[in-house]
Order: sequence, then C-alpha cells, then structure tokens
Amino acid sequence: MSSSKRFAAETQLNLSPFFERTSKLNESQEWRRWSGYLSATNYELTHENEYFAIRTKAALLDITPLYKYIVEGPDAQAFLDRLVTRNINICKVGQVMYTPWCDEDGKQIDDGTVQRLTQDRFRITSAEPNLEWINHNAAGMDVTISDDSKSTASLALQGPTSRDILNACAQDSLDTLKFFWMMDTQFSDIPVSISRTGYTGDLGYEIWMKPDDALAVWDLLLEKGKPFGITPTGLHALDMARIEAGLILLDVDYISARHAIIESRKSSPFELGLGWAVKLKKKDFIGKKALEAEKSRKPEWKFVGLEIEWDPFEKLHRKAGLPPGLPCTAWRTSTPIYNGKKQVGYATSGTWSPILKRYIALAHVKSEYAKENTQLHFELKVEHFRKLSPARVVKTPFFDPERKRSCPV
Amino acid sequence: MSRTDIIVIGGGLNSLVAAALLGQSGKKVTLLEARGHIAGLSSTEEFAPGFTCNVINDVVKWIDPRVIQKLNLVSRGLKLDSPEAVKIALDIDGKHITFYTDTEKTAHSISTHNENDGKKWHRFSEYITKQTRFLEKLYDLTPPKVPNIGFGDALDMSGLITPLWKYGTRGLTDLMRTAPMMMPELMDEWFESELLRASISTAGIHHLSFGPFAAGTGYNLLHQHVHSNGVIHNTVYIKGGTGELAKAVKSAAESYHVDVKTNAKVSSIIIEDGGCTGVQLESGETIAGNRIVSGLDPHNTFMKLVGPTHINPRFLTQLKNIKYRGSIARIHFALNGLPNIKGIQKDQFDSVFSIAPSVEYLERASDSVKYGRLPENPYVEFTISSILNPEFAPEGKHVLSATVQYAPYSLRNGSWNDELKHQLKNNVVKVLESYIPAFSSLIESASVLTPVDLENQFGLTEGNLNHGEMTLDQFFFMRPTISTAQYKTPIKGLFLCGPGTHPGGGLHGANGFNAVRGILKK
Repeated sequence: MSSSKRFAAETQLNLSPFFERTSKLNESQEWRRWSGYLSATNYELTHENEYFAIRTKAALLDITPLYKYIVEGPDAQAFLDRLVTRNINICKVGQVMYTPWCDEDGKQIDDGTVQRLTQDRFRITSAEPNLEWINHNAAGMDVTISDDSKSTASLALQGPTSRDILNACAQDSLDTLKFFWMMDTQFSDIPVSISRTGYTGDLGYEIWMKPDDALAVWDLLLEKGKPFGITPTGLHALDMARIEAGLILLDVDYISARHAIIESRKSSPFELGLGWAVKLKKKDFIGKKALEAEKSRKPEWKFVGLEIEWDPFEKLHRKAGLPPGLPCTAWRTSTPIYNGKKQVGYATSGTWSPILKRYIALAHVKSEYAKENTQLHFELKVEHFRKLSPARVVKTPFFDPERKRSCPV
Repeated sequence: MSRTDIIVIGGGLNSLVAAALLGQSGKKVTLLEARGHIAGLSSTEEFAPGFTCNVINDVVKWIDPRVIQKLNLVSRGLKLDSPEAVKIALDIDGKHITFYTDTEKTAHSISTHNENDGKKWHRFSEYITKQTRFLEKLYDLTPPKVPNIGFGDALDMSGLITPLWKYGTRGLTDLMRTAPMMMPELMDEWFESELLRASISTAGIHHLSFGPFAAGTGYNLLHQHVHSNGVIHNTVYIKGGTGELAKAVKSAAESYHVDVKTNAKVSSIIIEDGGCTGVQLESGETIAGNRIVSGLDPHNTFMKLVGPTHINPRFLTQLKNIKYRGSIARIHFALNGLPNIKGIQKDQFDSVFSIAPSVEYLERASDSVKYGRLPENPYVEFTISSILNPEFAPEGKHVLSATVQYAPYSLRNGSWNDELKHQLKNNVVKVLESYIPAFSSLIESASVLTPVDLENQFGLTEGNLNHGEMTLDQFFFMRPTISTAQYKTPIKGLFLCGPGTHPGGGLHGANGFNAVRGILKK
C-alpha cells in the first residue's frame, strides 16, 4: 500500500498498545469506540471471514479496553466475596469466576470475571468503570485497589485452533488448562498469563501481558498462528458470536443500576439469566437481602433466547415479493415481543447465526412467558410495515460446542 | 461464655446513664469499658505526681434534669456548684467583662465597656433563653424518621406546644433564623463591644472545628445554653471533679445490678443474619446478648466493631460523610503556686477565663485547622480547677487546665510528635503570659493532649469530643445519620447512645436517656 493511502487522523481516544499493528491491518478502517479506545469493527471489508475464524479457525481480538482492577491484601478475598454474588471463598489460585455484582437493592451494576492471581491478589474485569464503587465498598478493609486498565494489555484468541497456536508459542503446554482456569507461562522470554476464558462461547483464551510486551506478543502470535488460520478480528464478528453464546452485554441487554434513570430500567441477575451465579447461601454480600426477597416472590422478568421461526418469516417476506430479509450483522435495537396482541417483552440483541443457520435473539420477557418452547411473536418490518413473526423460546447458549470445555486428553 | 440481656459498650456518661436506666427497668445489663476506669470524657485523673485534673471538661454546661431525677443522682452524692462569676472574658488592658449568674450584674459589667451593650443585655439573654426552651423540648425527643413522620412522631412533638404557647410562632421563627446564623452576623444585630462579641462567639464555636464566621455556629451557641435558665455562659462545676458525675451514675447503675466491667475492651460485635448476638473482647472472651447499646461514636461502632462486611453501601456513604474533625487540645499545667491573673481578684478565681480579644481573632485561630498547622495565637479557655477542688494539687500548688482551640487532628506537614506538642504548649504559654505575668515560672510540668492523643486514649474518631461535629446538617433527625437518628441501627438489636446521637455532645446524659426509651419500647 502506498503511503498516500495510509489512514491517519488525530484522535483524543485512547490507543491500545496493539494499535501500531491493528491500525495497519485494518483494511476497512472501520472503528468503534470501546471504553474510550479506538477499536476495530472489522479488519476486512466485511466481517464474515472474521466470524468464521471464531468458529472454524482462530480469531485474534484486542481486548485491552476492558476495565481491569487489582484487589490485593489480607482482606481481598473477604472483600470480593462481599462485592460480587458468587462465592469467591471457593475460588482457588489460578481459577477464574464469571460473576455479576449488584447494588444493595439487588440490581445488577456490571458483570465480569474475577481472577485469583495469588492467595491475596485478584484481578477483576468489568465493562464499565467500577473503581469508585469498588473503592467505596472497600472502606475499612485491609485491601489495596489499583486500576489495572492501562497497566495490563490483553488479547483474546478464540476458536478451535487457538490451543494449537498457544502451544506453538508458549513454553508450557496448554493441554491441561481447564475452562475458567489460568496459568502463567512465557512466550520465549516474555512473561504472559493465559486464562481459558472468552466472550465467544468457543474454545478460546485470553492473554494478559505488560503493555511493553504487547507488540512482540502480537507478532509472535501472528507468525506462529499463520498455519492455523489466525485472523485479526473486530467487534462485529464478536457481537455475533457472543449472541450465539447467549452472553449478555452491558448497555445493550441491560442497564447498570448505577446509572439507570428510572427504577424499571434496572435488572437483577435473576432477570438476566444469571440466577445460577447468585449464591444466596453465602454470608452477607451486597444485595443479598433484596435478592433473597426477589427469589422468594419470583422475579418479574426472565432473560431468554428466542428463535425466529423460518417458514412464517420467509412467508411474510414472500407476500411482499421479497426474499427473506436477514440482518447481515448483529443488531441491538429494542424490539417488541408479543403474545398474541399483548406485548410481553422486548428483544435487546439478535443476529443471523451463520453457523446454526438460524435467526436468533436475546430477549427480556415476563416470567410467565419464559418457559422453553413458548410460542411468542417477534416484531419486524417488512417493506416499511410492521409484522409479527412467530418466535420460540429456546435454551441458551444457542451454540455450545463441546470443545469449549474439553481438554485433549 | 456468659450471657446477659443487654450489653452496653463504653463507660462514658451516656453509656452509664443507659446502663443504669436499663438496669432500673429490670434488665440484666453488662457494661464494658476498655479503660481501667469508667467515666470516659468525664474522667478526673492524675496527670502528674500529686496533680489531678478534669481531663476533658472542667465545666458541665448542663445536665439533663430527667437523668438527675430518674437516677436520684443528688442523693447518690452528686454536688453541683455554680460560681457567681460564670465566665470572665479577659481583656489585655485589664478591662475584663465578667458574666454572672445574675443578669443584672453582667449587664453592669458590660456597661463599663459599652453602655448600649449593657442596656441590651437583658433582652439578649431573654432572646437566647427563649430559643433554648424550644431546643429543650426537642432534646427530650427521639427524632422522627423522615420523610415518613407518623402520628406518633407528631404526638411526641406536642411538647413543643408549651414554648410555642408562651413565645408564639415568633419564638420558633427566631430559632429557625438564629440556628443557621454565624456569630458576627448575630452579634451585629446586638452588640458593639468587640470583647463582648468575641466572648459570646466562643460559645458558638465551643468544641467545633469551624471559626465563628461559619454558618450554624448560632445553633452551637444555643446548644450550650440549653437548661441554663437564662444565664449566658452558664457554668456548672461538679464538686470533686467531673469524674464524680460518672461515679454517681455508676453507683445508680450498680444499685440496679448492672455488671460494670473495666479493662474490658470490645474488639468486635458478633453479627449473625443481620442481627447482633454478642461481643468479643480483646481478651478473647465472648459475651452473648442480642441487644447491644454502643456509647462509642458511629465510626468506631460500625467500621471497627461491626465491621465493613456488614454495612450496606448506602449506609456506608452516610457513615463516611459524618464529619468528625477534632480540633481541641487540652493542656494541664501543674503549678507551684497560685497564678496572678491581671485585674482579677482572688475571689473570682473559680470562674472560667477566656482569651478571645475579637471575633476575628477566633476566626484566625480557626485557620490553623483549615491549613493543618499549629495555632500561633489560639483561643484559650482555662480554669484553675484546684481552687474549687483543693485536693487536685498538693498544698500551696495549683492546677490550671486550658482548652485550646484550634489544634488540627491532621497536620499538613507530618504528624503530631513530642516536639510539636511542646511547641503547641509554648504557644499557649505565650498567650497566657499576656494575662498571667510570669506564668512560665510557675510551671512544674504540663500534660498536652492533642486530638490524636484524644483519639488514642478515649477512642474518639479524629479526636472529636462530640462524636461528630455539632453542625446543623448533623442535628436532630440527621444525627448521626438520617437513617439512624432513632438510636436504632440497620443491625438488628444494635443501638447507639453516645454523643454521636441526638441531642449531641456535652456531659448531659440526654442521649443515653433517649436511647433507653427507644430500646425499652422495642
């Protein structure tokens, strides 16, 4: 590419330590803001290849924009156990736990992972800034909290060949690393931590490193990953994959209780399909009382997977003289869900799943309509006119390959 | 492990009052005091060989009459004494203003400074007294839980009808106007004499971290004059020292079989399922009891004893926002003879002396707290406690105790150490020497208590003697926080009874009295 065609712009956004590489690889020059960072939407002109990299090869994503905090000190475990809804007391060193956290009314503030780095040292990731909330609740406890968002760079390597690539790079074998565990290893002489986590619902890893090592790690992965089809991947492909995996996204599928301007915009973990992550048996934690009460009176809303049925969907379009109109990327506009003529919920994100060949969505519906196989209606527009298309409540994850959790031996 | 109905934490005046009243009602009560003896801020202790002092307060502004009566304190040996001259505002040229229990005499003393001011004195005394009548009724109450004020609360507040009947709505509006005022504005409406203006202002800043130019000092002025029966700068001494007040209450408590334990420092309150079930002592001993009354300040009670893992985020915000900001130092001087105060006759040596030449002097003194430095020219209030209590010092010797305002809790550069304490003492001696010639030659030894010392010795957060500033935003239904102003707390079975609660600081026992009413109601 001649230098005259090189993209250059002044920006006030943060640039990740990988930007030196990603900016040059981003052929489409499509970017999105993610937590104040300039983040690639898709590297190629369309995201399709990147999507299939996640499901059939290995996708490499710059996830540095994640918010990261280090919590350390003698009270670190007790503090985090109080902060989040899962039981951190049983989290072993090297283990990672996905968990939501709530305000004292049991309404969800954010969700993320808690990594136990050592006995007294944890890293917590989040979608939004949480430092103030973490600091506030740590008052009086023997913990030190630091913002690790810029002091650690991270990459996600997701897809069926991701383990092979890491085995080609790392000094230690990844074969025994179990789902939601992490290990320290080296890429030649560069120290990295690798967690078997991700946002795609596939076999995948996240690599944590010092920002200074970012470019060397990126280069090594691309070099060693070439035979395994490693593909720099942007947010469009990721969004499709995370919907297939049934994973929620803050500000899309729910609004943080910290800045919902009306009460009804807040959701509890029970209403977001995260009831499994609320451990009411553990000692007092923030929101416990409210969550106990909610559980006993049954949550008002449930978060479910929907499949828009193909035949009626096709028929609606045929009537208008059109082929079935499928979204080519994931959408995130609130879409009404009906039972007969009554609105009983709303879908918050959806996508055509190329791997499943199904049109899927994630939706909030009133609890009484949340049972599997319940027949509901999804609102769509066919040639400017609103239509209701039958949709069925289905289990999530929509796509759940065995390789996500399995180990080779 | 032993078991009791009610555990009272702390052995200060309010804790003792609460324990005694609970014992009186037939409960089995155990009181736990961390130090070697009870009394807390009313302690009278030896500070140098042969020399005794009232550690914190030489003067009691007022004692809740309900406490004296209900616990029969007079028959238990409590002797109250008021000097004829309740306060003397020292003047550098010897033209002092003397405040008497007799308003007429005070007016006369003021007239020698400024005739107009003297003429207004009666009216001013009445003006202040009228407003304190409302406060007196308010102080008897358990504050309502806002915004859900119920019929019961309204009924409780019917006590306010008496002063309302007597003084009209004008009385109430005067209160609502005066309380948020700052001292110089209030003084502008009344007096011209700078010494008089400053002297009245000292009541507005009593034990406060703010200067007289701060809004709400008007409220503190009124607070100091509750139950003072029209005497401005009312002074009540306790014969034998303030410790005798605590002793009288303790004797009442013991007559009701309260088990008073000293050297029993509570290290934590045991919480199960959101309710308290007992306490753990530093010795490792645990005492079971599902009702606990804490006389400690809110920070110590919740952050230290209950522990942050049991405090919800919203309440935590309220707790963090309680202003403590201790700013008082006490210096006790052991003197080898009776000092000579310029222009003061020996028969007035039992008064309280204040050194505050002007309102601006006080404001400048308060700058030291703002900027975290030692006060060059602090506001000093002193008594010669050995005059009233000769047993405080060996024959022919004396004790002069000074309250020094403003001494910051946290210093901008570094922290309190012996050298800085020495420097503070020197600054105070310098101020005193302008009024007591050759004062330094009388000093045998001195004991300096900074806010940090007060925190360490008496468990006062930031060394604040009121367990939280006496400001309008920490008053009545907002004291100590908006959700805990009814002496109850979010922890089931845990109550507060210390000065951190309504109606605030001072050796009056009203907090303990009100708290018990709430506990027994439950």
